[in-house]
Amino acid sequence: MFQKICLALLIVLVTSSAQAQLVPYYGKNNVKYDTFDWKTYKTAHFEIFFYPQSEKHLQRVASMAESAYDKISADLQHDIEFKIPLIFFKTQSEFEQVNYLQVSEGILGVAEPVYNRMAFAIDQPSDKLQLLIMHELTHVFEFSMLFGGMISPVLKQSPPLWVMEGFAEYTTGVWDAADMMIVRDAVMTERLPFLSVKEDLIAPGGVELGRAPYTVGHAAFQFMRDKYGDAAVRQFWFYLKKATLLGTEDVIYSALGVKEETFNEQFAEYLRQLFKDYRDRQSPVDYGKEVGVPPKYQQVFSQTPSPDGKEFLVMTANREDYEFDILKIDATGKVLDNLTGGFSNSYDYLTTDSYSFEGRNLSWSANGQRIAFFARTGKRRSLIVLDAQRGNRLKKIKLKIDNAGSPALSPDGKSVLITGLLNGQPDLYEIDVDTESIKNLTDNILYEKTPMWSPDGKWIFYTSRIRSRDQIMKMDVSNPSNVEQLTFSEYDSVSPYYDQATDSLFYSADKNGVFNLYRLDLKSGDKIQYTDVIGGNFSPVTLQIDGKSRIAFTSFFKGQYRFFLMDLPTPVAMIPKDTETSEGDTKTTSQQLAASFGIKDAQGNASTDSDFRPTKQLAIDQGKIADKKFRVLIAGRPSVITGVSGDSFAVASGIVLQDILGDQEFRFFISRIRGFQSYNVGYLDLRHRYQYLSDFIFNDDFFFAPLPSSIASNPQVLSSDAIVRSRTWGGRIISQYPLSRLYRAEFSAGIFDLSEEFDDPFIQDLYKQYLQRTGQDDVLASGGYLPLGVALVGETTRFREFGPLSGFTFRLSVDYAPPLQSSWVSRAVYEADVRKYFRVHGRSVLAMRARGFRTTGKDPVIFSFGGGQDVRGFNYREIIGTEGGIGNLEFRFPLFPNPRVPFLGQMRGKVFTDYFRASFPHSADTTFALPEHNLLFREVNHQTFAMDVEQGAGSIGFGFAVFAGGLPFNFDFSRVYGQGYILQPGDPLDFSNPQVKKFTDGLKFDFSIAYDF
Amino acid sequence: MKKGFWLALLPLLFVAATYQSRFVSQNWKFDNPGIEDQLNPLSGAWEIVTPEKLNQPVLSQKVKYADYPKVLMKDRDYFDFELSTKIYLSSENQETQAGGLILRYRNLYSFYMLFLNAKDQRVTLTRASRGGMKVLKRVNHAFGPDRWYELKASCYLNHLRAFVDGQQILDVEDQVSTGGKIGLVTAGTSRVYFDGLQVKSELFEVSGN
Repeated sequence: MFQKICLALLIVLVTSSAQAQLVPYYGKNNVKYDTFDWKTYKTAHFEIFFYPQSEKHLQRVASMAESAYDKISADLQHDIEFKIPLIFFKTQSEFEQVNYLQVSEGILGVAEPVYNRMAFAIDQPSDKLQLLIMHELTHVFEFSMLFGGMISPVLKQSPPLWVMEGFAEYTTGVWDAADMMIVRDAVMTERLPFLSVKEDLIAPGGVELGRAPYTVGHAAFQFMRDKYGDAAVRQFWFYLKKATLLGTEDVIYSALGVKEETFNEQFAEYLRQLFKDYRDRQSPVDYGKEVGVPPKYQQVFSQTPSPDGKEFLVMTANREDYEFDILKIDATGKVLDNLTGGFSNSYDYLTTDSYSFEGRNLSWSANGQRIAFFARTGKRRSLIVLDAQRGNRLKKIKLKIDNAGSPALSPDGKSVLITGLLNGQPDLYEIDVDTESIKNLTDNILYEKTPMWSPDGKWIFYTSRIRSRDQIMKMDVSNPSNVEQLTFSEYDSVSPYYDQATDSLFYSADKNGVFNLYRLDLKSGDKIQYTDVIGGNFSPVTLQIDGKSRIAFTSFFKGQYRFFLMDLPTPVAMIPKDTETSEGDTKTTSQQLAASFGIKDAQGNASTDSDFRPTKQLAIDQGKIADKKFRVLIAGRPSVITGVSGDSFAVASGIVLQDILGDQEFRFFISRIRGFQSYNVGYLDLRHRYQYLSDFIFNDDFFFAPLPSSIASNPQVLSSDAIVRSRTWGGRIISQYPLSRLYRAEFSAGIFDLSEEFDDPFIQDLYKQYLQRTGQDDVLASGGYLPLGVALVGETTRFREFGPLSGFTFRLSVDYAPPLQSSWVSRAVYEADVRKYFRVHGRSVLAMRARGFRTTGKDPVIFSFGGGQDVRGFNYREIIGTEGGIGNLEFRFPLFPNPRVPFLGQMRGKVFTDYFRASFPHSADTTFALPEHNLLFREVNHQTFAMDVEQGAGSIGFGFAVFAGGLPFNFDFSRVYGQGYILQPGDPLDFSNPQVKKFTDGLKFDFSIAYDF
Repeated sequence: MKKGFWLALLPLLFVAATYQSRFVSQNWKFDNPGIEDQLNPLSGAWEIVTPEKLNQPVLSQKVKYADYPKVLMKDRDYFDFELSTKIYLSSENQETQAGGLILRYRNLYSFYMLFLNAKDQRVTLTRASRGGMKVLKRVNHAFGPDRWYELKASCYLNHLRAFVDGQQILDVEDQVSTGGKIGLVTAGTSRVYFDGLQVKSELFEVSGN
């Protein structure tokens, strides 16, 4: 939560020049697919932000929010004195477009501590949405109890995640079976992490923690209440507030009177007693055999067998690539193929259903020919259909359905059942793979999940969430309105799988709070329980291998979802038919449900919004709905960014005033590079897909300029003094239109007053005299300036914490300044920057970059570069020219990936070669005061070497980068080479002599703080 | 020597006079009725069974889900002590055949485990900490399954030693944990039987002036 805020604050600084030096990437686009016409509505404790498309849910959300407030406020005996900003989105894909923070799939809601904004998507079952609202609202109460209106900069110590998230879960008063499973597994298999208020969870043996801060934290507060009482929980928050502000309090000792070690031991013993009845229960290893995936993969979230049962597709997390992969494996776990190996630009990432235990993210058609899964492409997900044998893609169907999931290929592979939301309504759909036509099969308010075809294609089995429980349904394909509810339990039944041999449904259900495997005999109606585990078993699929029935399933065991195979075990229990049935409970249409639950809308008609009733029902007064007004907030602390390259130091700072939704910003920036100071005041509009920044700038910058030889030869002039001060002031508009997440077009236009002259008055005088004497044109530009620019940017690069790993980047741009008047600056500038990154192995990268630039017109731009991560072995901006190019080739590799030294991150090594050419083109019609030869002076064997950079020069070398405080500190050593003339002492430079290629003397050392290109 | 020497000894004599030491010995027999009430299982499911091949009541752990099923004795903390048990590593499970003693158990993140491993034929002393398990020493020795061994651990100050059938196998110095509960442990799905547990300890008590 806090990290996301910090990240968002960093992102607003992208236009800072110092930032550009430090982080030289163009970045992917956070595309605003939708423009929201925000409205507000105030309730007793909330100011709710919504938009017309979500307005129909306002009453429901407002009722849930006020219901949540009443409960939490009463439980904590605490009130919030301001109206809490509550921002809700109709769907997750719309939530991800929020501007004041970064949201990705999997983040269902966020509350932040500075302005106490809580935001979430509502596209989930209402009972779960109510819990989500309570969770996020609890964070606001936490912030209030801890900070009491003060803003986080005064904090000495941030509470750990298990405290903040655990308490938010605890306050809901509800244990989700999947959450309890995580705690139970941790206790029974001795993976309970150590709880400390001073740091985040520490798991024994470095076990992956995943959701443990939420679940174990929840259990910790429950333990605190059960052992020490409700007052102790409040005492805990009282002392936590002191610790947060002063940083000195031992919270657990002060609140509970025991040391942290004792608290942990008591907590462990409490949980052991809580779960003592589970001691004798089974684990999947008692009856199954784990089909393990190689160590580079972690967990199996989904599995589906081939029709012959000999191969399996599994969806698993690739720990090296930080993404999901779909593997084809055999029954021993041997990887036969990785269907999604490497990085793909045809989709962003593979997606899973909202809840891991549903586990239906893959489908393999019964005829064995097709495989289907979902991947994120742009705003929503696309259905990907592969040829099962060749692995090549047959179809990528972009859908207008949100949260599409649970694909189920029909037996002939020609159509796919999916679940998802259209216009905010959850339903079950059938997609024709060839025609891509979509048919809604349910059209009701219930949440359908995990559909499955019968082998003859006549029936569909799936689950519907009815009265906050998932029940198994059966649909007649020829008449989709013919639906039969098969289970009527007071617990969830999920992921049904039809087994033709027994005419049964195998599924997972959390009867008594633990997900186990069951079979529903469709003939008798009896249910048979097959497992009784300490963790949870999910997604059963029956197989016939060599005439023998087996079951493939996933199991949460020892902290991970794992894939198991087993023979059909001896039943544990039987639930006879009708023992769980309530007469007349089958209500599958929206109208039936609405009538059943007595929910009415504002007009008194049966509401079809939800089958869930919050404890408090609000009526919406339409007259109080108002347009959102612009309200200025300070977007965090003023930031300071520094960069170093050789002898040049850059610093930038700024402050951003933001609208409450982050859609509009006023920005004030100041930066200073080598004593030259720039100011920038701008307005940023992020409300639409087309986004723009309009700003006024005063830019004071510098570059090295070529000196005419008669000035350069003046003994009082040093080439290092030939610094041109470039001052620009005026206004501009920079805008961008993202074509996709990877590509965008950029446009810019401005009107400026430009002034360039040598910073040293003596040199400026000499230069003016030179121009008067020779009649040559001034190469420095001054006057009115109207640059118009267009650029195309692409960024497919996959980044890691150290920089680029794989992919490519480019930026192609043209800037043109028309000669409105003779005194106005007139020029055209063409630039290209192309980079390609090859992942050699693991975290080793071969990086290539080519940059080119060219300028024409009567006021050419003098480009300057060198130093830093640009061209090593040369001073910062030492190399100048009006046209040229740079090439870099670099191999980067890990030296000490995990040095375990305080404050120090990883150390990486590199070997590199840099090459460039820069020139001042001369032609018959140019009379610029530019030197005929572009020279840099070095020493070769202690003799002066006039390096002609027009003929090319560069460096080869090696170096390493140390990450400290999140910044890369680069130490580079290089040998410089070039082509030019060796000068004998006292001899003049004679260009008629042949040029020689030489390495210059010595090993050049460069230090810089900057990320790799 | 003379006067100064005796004066220097005076503080030592005073200390000896104010502290008293006594030896305690505790013996848990697993055929005693009610012995299960003296067990505090931390993980796994422990039970008193009488295997056919042994024909005597023994303590055993039966489930497969824990990595290191542990049971502590409901008793005081011990600091310097000798702990011994008779252990039988069954060949019923071919994959793992290891079990042993828990020493100086402070909490989930601070204790020692001494393992006798018939499968890999070695004795191993490990220490648990918040960062995970660390092997302090591993000594190979010819052990076999399906026979009784007497496994003994001796803990004095920072000196930890292991004996099998009276023969010292392992000797380690480690000063992280100074005292705690005692107990028994097995490894994963090993089928292990324990016949009794004995502890001998020298307790120091303040006697007052």
